[in-house]
Amino acid sequence: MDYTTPSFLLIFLPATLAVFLVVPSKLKRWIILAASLAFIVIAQPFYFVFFIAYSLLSYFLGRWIEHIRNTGAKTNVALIVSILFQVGLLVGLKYCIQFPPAFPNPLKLDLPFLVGKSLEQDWVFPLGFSYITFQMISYYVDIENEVIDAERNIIHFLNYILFFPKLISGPIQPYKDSIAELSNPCATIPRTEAGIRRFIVGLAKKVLVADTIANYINPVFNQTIPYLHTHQAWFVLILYAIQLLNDFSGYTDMAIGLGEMLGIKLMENFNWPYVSKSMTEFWRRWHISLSGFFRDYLFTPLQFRFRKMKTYPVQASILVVFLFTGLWHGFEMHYIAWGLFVGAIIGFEATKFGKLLKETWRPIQHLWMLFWVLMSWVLFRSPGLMFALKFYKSLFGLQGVVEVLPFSQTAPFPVTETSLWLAIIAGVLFAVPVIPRLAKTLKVDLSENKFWQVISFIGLLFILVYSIGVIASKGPMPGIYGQF
Amino acid sequence: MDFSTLNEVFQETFDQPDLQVTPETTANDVVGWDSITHILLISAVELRFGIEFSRKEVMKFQTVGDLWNCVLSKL
Repeated sequence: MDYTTPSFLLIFLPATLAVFLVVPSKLKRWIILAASLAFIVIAQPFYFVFFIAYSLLSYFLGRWIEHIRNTGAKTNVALIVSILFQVGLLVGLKYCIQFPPAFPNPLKLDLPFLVGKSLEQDWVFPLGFSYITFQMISYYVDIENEVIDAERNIIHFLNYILFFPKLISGPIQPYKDSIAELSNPCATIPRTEAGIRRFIVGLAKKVLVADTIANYINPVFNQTIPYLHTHQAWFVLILYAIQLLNDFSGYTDMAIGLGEMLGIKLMENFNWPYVSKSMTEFWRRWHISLSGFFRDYLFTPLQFRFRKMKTYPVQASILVVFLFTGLWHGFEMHYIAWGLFVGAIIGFEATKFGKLLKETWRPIQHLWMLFWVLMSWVLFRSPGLMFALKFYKSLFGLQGVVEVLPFSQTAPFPVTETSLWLAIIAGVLFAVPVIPRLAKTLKVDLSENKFWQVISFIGLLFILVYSIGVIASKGPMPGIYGQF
Repeated sequence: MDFSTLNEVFQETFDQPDLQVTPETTANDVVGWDSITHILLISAVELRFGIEFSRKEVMKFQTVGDLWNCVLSKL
């Protein structure tokens, strides 16, 4: 089950919200747990026992680290064992997905009527497991560093790691930022309303923008080699940049909206990344929870460890961080190359060049960022390194004598399709803060403006109905970041 | 050694002669205080006060006040 399936939108969410809002406060955390467990049972019934066993073991590992810490003994072994447990499971499962073992999955259950699609694969990655394991690593390190104490209440702990709004695409929220509301989810009518609004905006980004663009550009990336003119390659790449942001930030909006409805605040994952003036700034604004995790739990400890070595350059830590960022997305070579590519650019910006860049004309800084971000998305989206190389050649007019197929053979509909252009316009408006800046310039407070409130309410209602109509007619498409 | 000495380290690290930090100041309040300059700052504080921080201590710093209290505990 995905947030964009009719079963979630029309049954699961309304039922969960209705029960959550009517039960007394002290029962709300139980409803959240029941909903999260039900979500897993419906989405991946064969992993239900796995998730329960994994959660209990993770819980006791946290308690173990805390126990050793409190006795004053060294916690290194307990911390390393706990982290190896998390990383080992993550790597093992990712490896099984990429290179499926010869033996069949003995617990395979096919319940297509519940999940909305057939489970023909033997090996399916557990929902949100990459996000969960990183949260657990931050949890263990924070316990070891005496930043937090281990959670004692198993209900609060299960609600932290299995909270269903976070399961599909994160955010990777550290436990220290979640403690306050886990024990007492606080739902109010304005908060529920804000949550519903945010959810619908996310749904629109995903279904009406990202999926519409995906229908158009996916066929290009499904070719063995890119049959593209130079202008077509740039067009497809720019569309992908719009699709990726709207897809991922759409899921984040839906997650934050669901969290608000259930009285638990989730962190923001995006802050208008495409307005950045450098790759470094871009990565402070893009997938904030992942870059924050690597900053706090890998980059800073590495830099601290080697701070006295004059010969240790900061670029080494940056490259390590982005190598792991690439590996987090998958073991395929193009993800590794993508991580190293981004790390190299950010490492370059950490030299004196970075200061020079800051002093140049602002449009040049934006162009610098956009160029390298787009170049990095080629590696990220391509099915392999050879494809990426040929895509680069197409971008710079070096594709040579490659037969260029007409779009009619590589795309499902022509570029004159109205829905595509509407999706592009909406996608750009969601990608750059045009409306907030316009409101600021005109000194209009949109949250206080009654006319805007009515218009936006009607608009959101229309978007919700239209999105459900699109999902019903075309079927839901899984999110890009759901696969990680 | 008082708080003004710590303030001088901030001014030198961030190359801002007019910078004034308080115990409540956080990384969000100082232009250029990012993950890279953070470690440069830690090293500069260690050098100026002749002390050494542990990884656990550094991970717990949330404000300049946290940093200053840790410095005081080592003097």
